[in-house]
Amino acid sequence: MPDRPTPLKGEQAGREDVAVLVPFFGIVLLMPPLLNLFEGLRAPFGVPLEVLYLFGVWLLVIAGAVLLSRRKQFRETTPIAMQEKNMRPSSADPPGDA
Amino acid sequence: MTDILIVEDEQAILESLEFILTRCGWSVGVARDGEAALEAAFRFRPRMILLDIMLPKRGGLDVLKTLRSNATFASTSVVMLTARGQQYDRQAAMHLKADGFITKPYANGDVVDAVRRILDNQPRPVAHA
Amino acid sequence: MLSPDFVILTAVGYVGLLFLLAYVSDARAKRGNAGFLSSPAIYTLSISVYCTSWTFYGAVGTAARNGLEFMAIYMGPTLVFVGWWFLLRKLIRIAHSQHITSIADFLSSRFGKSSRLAVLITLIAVVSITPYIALQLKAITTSIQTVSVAKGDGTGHLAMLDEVTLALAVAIGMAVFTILFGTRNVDAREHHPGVVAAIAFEAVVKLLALVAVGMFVIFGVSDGISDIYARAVEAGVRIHEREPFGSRWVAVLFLSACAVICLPRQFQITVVENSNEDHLRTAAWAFPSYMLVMCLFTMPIALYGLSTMPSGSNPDMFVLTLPMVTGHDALALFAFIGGFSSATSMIIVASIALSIMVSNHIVVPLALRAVPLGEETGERDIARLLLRSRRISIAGMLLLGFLYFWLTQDSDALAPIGLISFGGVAQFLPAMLAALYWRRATMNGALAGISVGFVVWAWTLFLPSFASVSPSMAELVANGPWGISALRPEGLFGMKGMDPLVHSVFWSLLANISTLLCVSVATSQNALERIQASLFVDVFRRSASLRPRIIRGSASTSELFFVAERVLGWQRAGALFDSAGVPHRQGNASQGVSANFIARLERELAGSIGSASAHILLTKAVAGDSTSLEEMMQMADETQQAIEYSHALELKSQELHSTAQQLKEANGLLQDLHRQKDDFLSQVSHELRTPMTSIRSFAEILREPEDLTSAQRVRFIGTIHNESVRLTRLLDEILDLSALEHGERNWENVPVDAEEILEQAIAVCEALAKKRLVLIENGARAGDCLVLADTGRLSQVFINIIANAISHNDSENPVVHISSRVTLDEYIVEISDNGPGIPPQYHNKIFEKFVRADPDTMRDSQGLGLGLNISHKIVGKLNGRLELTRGALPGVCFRITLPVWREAEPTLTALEGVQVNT
Repeated sequence: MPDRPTPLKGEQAGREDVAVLVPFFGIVLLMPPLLNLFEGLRAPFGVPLEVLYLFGVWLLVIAGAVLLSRRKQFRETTPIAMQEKNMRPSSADPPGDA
Repeated sequence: MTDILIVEDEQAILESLEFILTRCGWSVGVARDGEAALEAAFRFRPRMILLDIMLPKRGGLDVLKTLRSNATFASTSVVMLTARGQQYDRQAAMHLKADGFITKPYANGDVVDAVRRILDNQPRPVAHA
Repeated sequence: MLSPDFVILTAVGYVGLLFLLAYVSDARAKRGNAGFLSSPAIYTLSISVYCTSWTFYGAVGTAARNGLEFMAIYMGPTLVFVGWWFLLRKLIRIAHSQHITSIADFLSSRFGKSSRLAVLITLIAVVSITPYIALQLKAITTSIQTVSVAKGDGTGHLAMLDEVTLALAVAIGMAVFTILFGTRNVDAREHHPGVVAAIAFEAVVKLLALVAVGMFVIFGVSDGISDIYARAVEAGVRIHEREPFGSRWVAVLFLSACAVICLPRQFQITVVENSNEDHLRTAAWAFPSYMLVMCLFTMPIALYGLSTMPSGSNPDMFVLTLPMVTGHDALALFAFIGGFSSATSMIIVASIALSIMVSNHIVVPLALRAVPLGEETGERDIARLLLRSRRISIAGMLLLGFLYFWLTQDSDALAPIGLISFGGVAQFLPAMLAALYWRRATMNGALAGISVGFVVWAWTLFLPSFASVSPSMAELVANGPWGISALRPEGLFGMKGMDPLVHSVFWSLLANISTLLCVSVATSQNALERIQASLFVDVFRRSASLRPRIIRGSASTSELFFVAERVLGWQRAGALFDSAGVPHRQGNASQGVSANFIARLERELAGSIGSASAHILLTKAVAGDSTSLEEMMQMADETQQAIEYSHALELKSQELHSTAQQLKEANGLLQDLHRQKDDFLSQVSHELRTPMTSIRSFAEILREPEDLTSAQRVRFIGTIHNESVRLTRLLDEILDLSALEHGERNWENVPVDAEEILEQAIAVCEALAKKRLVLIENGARAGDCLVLADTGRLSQVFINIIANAISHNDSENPVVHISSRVTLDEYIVEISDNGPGIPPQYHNKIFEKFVRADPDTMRDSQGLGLGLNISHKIVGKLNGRLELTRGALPGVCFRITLPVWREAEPTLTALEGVQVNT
């Protein structure tokens, strides 16, 4: 049977909305205006605050990605059937490539 | 003329039937297989035949069919004996116009009653006719 | 201090280890036993080919020179990976479905399979990556020199090598290594499991090496993080950013994000080598985590180095020099291997990726054009051509890298070279994004955009990197060509005060993007471009295209009716319109109709002329324009899916049919079995009723108080007894048969003397024979012969058959003849008689239940029709045969054949052993 995934429209849209959060906040939090807020400040242990901030944002973004990757709606296996079906070399390849 | 012809391949059964029917005062002839039965029927001209269905050489139903197709035995009653007791045996027998059907093992009294009923209702052939 | 010989030999040994690893992995993958090799972990580790020696050594240098900027190089890719759902996932899905082999292939395929575009991208990639490979060569040679600073005692002849020779040697070595690995065969999908495994291994090595040095610096020679910062402050090192984060930070962030998508080696590893889309879900957080750990120790190492090392020492080599100055040579060697790992993995993957592009898009098309493919040019020749061109390309790439290294050897900063490369490949990004999301982007737009961007990049960033090579180049960079300052590479149109990198990124991408947009809008796509665009942009939507598409638009009811009438006829069309309450007669015919009605009309039309045609017709009527190519595509797709669907249905129905057939057969078999069971029960019933009849009859006779003679009494009682015995025997036989059919528990086959059992059986039958006046005649005998059997069962068979022969024999002088013999491996007994024999029609059925060939002679015999069946079953269980045959006498002859038990067989020896012991 050819697989005919017809996901609910609402669910898919929700998925996109959730997925955009992490990269969006990653980009926003790494922009200079925010970074420069910490200029010259020192955190405990003598480490400059901007270093801690950068690593903090990084960890936050990774944590977000971990959470996302565990959500059920982002688990989708490669549609193998489709993959096999299209396993033909594109004509831009030299003929011997296949 | 004989009253009853007993056709039965089992020696013990034949012996017991012969004993109880003779004791009731009927004259009895015996045969041990299908062909012997027909032979005996012609010879003895019995008033009735007790006919086992499972017989060597020629089956009981076959014998019955032959008898019924012969005008000589038009008035001869035939009571079938069977140990198989299957419904289709009984139907086949009734279809061939058997006059009775006795399933083994039987009570001696049942056999005697059946024989008596038949022989009593039969117009006794005029002797020497 | 380590001797150069030792360091170089260690590196060579390490490469040997990699080769072994790759070889084993390749072999495993080829056997289809990839297992762990195709796990998300290996995938993630292999992506970290992103972290080259530039990040291994250079990050510390960058940190020392430019502060936190090095982090942007890692955070750009982090942003790309955490946003995997939008870009990378689509990229991989398309690459899988379109069989993409490289970034050049990807872009050319999207833009109408343009070979011009493929060549352009290949050339740009080669030009951009060459400095990067040079960077790796430089890192390897510098690190070898650093870690093995000779004391001047001239130990070891390898110490004589100068930097250039060393770099050449490394380049040649890497070329040989990569050719051996990457071009062992040409895989249609360009998968290199061996290489990927080696890269993943190197990823672990470089991470461990950097962590080891970092831990050493923080906890070995310092007293934790705060100590390092305190010491740096003390030594006057700036621990805060010199300048506020600004455009350069954003530019580096952006370039590194581009690089992780557009670098040919990243595309190769992330997209082409990906075996399962779902691995991306893991890599999305695991790869950023890997980079985070790589990054964690950069700043401490840089600060510690700056505050403790003498001024003038190369901060790029702090990772090596810090352990060395404290005398930790082993750690330095480990760090060297880490850096070596990151350099070699980059060189291997980059040159493989580039060689695929060069050979697929440049060499092979040229070769095929020069030598037209004749009948005699087989597939093998093309494979050989591909392999050869790949090998030459790899060698060529490394040669170019070496040349770049040679030309720029006087420039000592590693980091700028990396960013130059990033800037080059970043020119692919606009076209790439357009390829994924902008349906209207044309091939001409992509070609023009990339070309313009590339030229600007080459002028503003690539060219200035040669400034130190020759005075004329330096003059050009400083003052512009022919003194035109508006064209100054680092200050186009008089732009001043801008970081050269930001300057280049700004101008090149501005030119690139605006050209792409303008040319795309100005030019149109050809049919193939449209098809490919739709395949790429809508890659996720294709499978959902079966959803009904409602045609939107306005159409007057009269137009719709006109269409409907033509297809359905006036009456049906009229009925349809009336039932929906849509007016269709002239005069009141120009009001709008609902989309639902149009959908219903489409279904009706589809019933007559097929869904595709119905859709075209209605689209024309409703929207008023012709069907777009995308819709044609979609329809073709839909038709394809419908065909597949019906094909699947057909398969299903065939399957159902064959299942029904099988069920029918099974049912037939069951009915047969049922009939057999009925027959058997009926037979058993008959066999039980017969003796029961005489027993009951005689019992009733004896019960009646009439006088019987004592002779009669004795006779009748004897008959009752005999018949009871017969009944018992019958029951025994039935139970016996049931036991045989369902497998007997206490059946043990042991070696027994068959001849002895036969003797005993004959002796048992002797009495019966005497009673029947039958002569038992002994023929030739076998003498002692061992067979594997159960004594009781074998005896039962012999007795049954001899007794049969005796009791069925009604000839004048009844004789039963018994003979036995041994052939090579069989013991054969034949029991024959001179009785009436068995009529031919019974020969096939004689071993079945209740079959009697001569019922009339069996009246008082002991056989009940089960004996032969039982014997037949027993002999079968003894692996022998019971057959009807011709024998010494004219009547029946049964032959029993049993396999002989040889003494030599080990079980018997064991058995004897047991007997001896007990």
